[in-house]
Amino acid sequence: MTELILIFTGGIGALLTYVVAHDLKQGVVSASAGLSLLVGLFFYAFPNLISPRLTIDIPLVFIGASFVGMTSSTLVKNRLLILLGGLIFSGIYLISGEVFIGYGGKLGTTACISSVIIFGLGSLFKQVIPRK
Amino acid sequence: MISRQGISLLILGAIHLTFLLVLTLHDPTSLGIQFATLASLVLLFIGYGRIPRSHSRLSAKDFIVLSIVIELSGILTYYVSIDLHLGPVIASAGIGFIASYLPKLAKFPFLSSLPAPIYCGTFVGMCCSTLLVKDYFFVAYSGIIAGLIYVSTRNVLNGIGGKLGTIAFGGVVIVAFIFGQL
Repeated sequence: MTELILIFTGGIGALLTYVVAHDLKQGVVSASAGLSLLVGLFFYAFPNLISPRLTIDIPLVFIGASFVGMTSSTLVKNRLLILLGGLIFSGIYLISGEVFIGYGGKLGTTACISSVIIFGLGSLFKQVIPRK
Repeated sequence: MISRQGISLLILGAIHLTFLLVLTLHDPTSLGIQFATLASLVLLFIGYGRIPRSHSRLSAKDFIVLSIVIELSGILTYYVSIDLHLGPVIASAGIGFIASYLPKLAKFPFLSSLPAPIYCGTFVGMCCSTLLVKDYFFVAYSGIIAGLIYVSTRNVLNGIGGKLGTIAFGGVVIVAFIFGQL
């Protein structure tokens, strides 16, 4: 159940960031940082609301997945691909476990790999704008 | 002859490859992880080849300025996260959120270019003190290397989410390797 919640968090984090950044035109840094700040502050204010693991992991998964949502709308237009990118991010995050734990940029690297994967998938299915 | 952009892509590709390789070697018996890594590699190569590249050039001055910006934001993030006990997410997101409003303060081109390197620096500062970082110097050195990677990879993977994190990770891993902490 914990894993399912984290995978769901990844999907929501990526999609919400993409919508706020591009549809609401707030900019990618502002969208990612702003939403992640809200999630981080919520669990900082209510540390005993859910299990300790989820209290630690949900903000981390959310901010990491929000990097996937920072992908440019000119590269990936399909929101389903962004959602998929968030889910892929969560999957790699869960698999990686103790690997590179404590290393700054681990979440971003995972997000970048997820973003390139969805771009590659999108290219395969002709769902992205072709290179000029 | 490999182009400048080819080298830039190789740098980021090497960081991704290192990450995936260590991930696979961590649990070599898991067929699921091996399959996922292989599928990821195939899609990564497809993606690398098709993502548009730009041709902007940055000078040595840009490298110095960007390195200082990344380094300072990394140190500030580390301070807020570890010394103020707010944790890496609030520290990184808080500083990144404030940085995202810098271009609105005044219409200087320099201010408009700051949010991305500052946000990149916050990822460097997300290092966890109990496991890796012994002092602020580690973050500072990582920030310098991340600045070098930031400038070197300016023309590739633009618009791909997580590129800034990859740059930060590259800086941290290289410095950890030098310090013998890998």
